[in-house]
Amino acid sequence: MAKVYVITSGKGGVGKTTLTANLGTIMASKGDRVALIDADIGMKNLDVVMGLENRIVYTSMDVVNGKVDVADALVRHKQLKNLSLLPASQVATKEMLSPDDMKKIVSQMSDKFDYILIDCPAGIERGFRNAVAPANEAIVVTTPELPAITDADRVIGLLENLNFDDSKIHLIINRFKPHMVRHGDMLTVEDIKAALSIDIIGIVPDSEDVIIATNKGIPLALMDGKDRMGKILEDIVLRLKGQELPIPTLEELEEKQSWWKNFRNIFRRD
Amino acid sequence: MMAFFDFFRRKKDDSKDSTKDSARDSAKERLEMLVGNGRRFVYKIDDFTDKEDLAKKTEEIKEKIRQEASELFNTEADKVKIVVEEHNGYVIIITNINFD
Repeated sequence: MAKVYVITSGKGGVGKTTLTANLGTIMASKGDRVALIDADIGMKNLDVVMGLENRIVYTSMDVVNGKVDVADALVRHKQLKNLSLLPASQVATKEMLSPDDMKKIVSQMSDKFDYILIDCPAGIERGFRNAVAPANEAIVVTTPELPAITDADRVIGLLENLNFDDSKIHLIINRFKPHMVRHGDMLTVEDIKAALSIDIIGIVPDSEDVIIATNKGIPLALMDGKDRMGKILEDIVLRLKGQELPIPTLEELEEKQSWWKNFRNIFRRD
Repeated sequence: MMAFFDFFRRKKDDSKDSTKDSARDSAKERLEMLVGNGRRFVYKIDDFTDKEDLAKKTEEIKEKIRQEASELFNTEADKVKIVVEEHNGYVIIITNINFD
């Protein structure tokens, strides 16, 4: 039976899709059988981040309408054959699928995979309900800004109402900027943790590499020379699997800059 | 000559101004006001109404909509899918009619 995670946030643009792609890729690269489900019907993106947009034949909508089986709709990753994607339709709407439909889809996939990651759309309406319905655990993604944190708080409240125990809700702080925290310009990890009162499973520093990876259609976890980000994401996966690893400190999160970059910064006009 | 040195001079840093709060401090204060007193509680309809009665009436409403829609659009009743959801104290009825 697969363990099913929903990656959600409330607010859009905080990095849910990128994290879904990368966490799934890392799980698969370690040998787990992984399926990613794009639940953002009508605004799908996961296929683009994974670089699989040209391989889609059927979508979850075709499965719900009984046109094809789930196995026919799944798209296998080019390099990692144990990583599959169930794409979402671009033309359908979220209302055309119900939470029961999603549960049925996941139950048909459950015995073929170790992990199923569901990329939840922004918002707390129908798309959220659909994505959350089949999940055992939730990963709430936030960035260190007020709108994202307050939306995350709202989502955590809704998850609790839907009977998710606090131990089944994990928090990832994405696009964290250690230098801004150092200068007193950004909320600290402790501030966010105190406000949301759930366990932090990872902190992902802001990185331009994410844009490069998305443009190339290669998950960051598969790109060469991205050891630092790879390690951070890998540790999140290990924590999800139950390993007790310490959350990196501010110093550890800060990217070491070259002496030339530091020298240039002295003369930089702000 | 002065213009040459000005080029390398750092722009005056506003954060050193003692009259200005740090962005973190104001964000923390506002965050506490927004979420500080526990999560915003959401009531469920069955906190106020009898659960069984609510379920029975929901099924009745769904059946009536199904019959009406299938007659109106001349489709089989099983092609009409109705889902009733509760969102923050509101009941939302979603009806999908499959014309395939």
